[in-house]
Amino acid sequence: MVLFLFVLMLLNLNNEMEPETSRIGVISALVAGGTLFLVLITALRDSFQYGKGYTMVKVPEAGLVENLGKLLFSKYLVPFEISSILFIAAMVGAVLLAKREKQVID
Amino acid sequence: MEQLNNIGASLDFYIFVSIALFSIGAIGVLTRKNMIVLLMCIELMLNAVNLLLVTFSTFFGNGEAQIFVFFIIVVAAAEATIGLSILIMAYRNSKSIDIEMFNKLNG
Repeated sequence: MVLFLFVLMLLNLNNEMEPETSRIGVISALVAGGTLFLVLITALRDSFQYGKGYTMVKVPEAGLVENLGKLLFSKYLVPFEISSILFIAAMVGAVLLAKREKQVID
Repeated sequence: MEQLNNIGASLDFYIFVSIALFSIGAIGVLTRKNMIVLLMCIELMLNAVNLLLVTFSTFFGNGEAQIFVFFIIVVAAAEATIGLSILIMAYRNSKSIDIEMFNKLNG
């Protein structure tokens, strides 16, 4: 979120730069999104009858930082390290992409 | 701690909020043409999934889903970084943040 704010600050936008959207596109998008919402809600309502048998497991320690850390550094150690590589790649890519240089598309 | 684990009765509310967030994100992606808002809506959909994962993780007393949430957050952060840097580059080249600008890439 901080990143978004920085970009908003960098870009020096104003009101007439806001791209206008066509009305028919907005209406069809709203219909599609509303249909998605209704389908998901209906699926949720249907799933209640199958979920009756489940009761909540009382494991209060499951979400604690200590247990999460133990899990993260034992079973999920390899994905953790790979995600650090992903972060470095993203950082280098972002710097390379956003570096100021002379290039004109048209 | 008791409070944390008392969500069993209201599991459907969490799912409802998650579905609502996801739908709002999807509608935003379909509706808006501003690239910044598009990226924010993608983040919103990812966070809806995160909310669902944490809810079920707490419900079933299994911490592994929260590890997945960590990884989703990491990937979302990397994706937002790359997306915003692409946005900055596109803005520098065309002085516009309209998503239609990328139609110029069409050969």
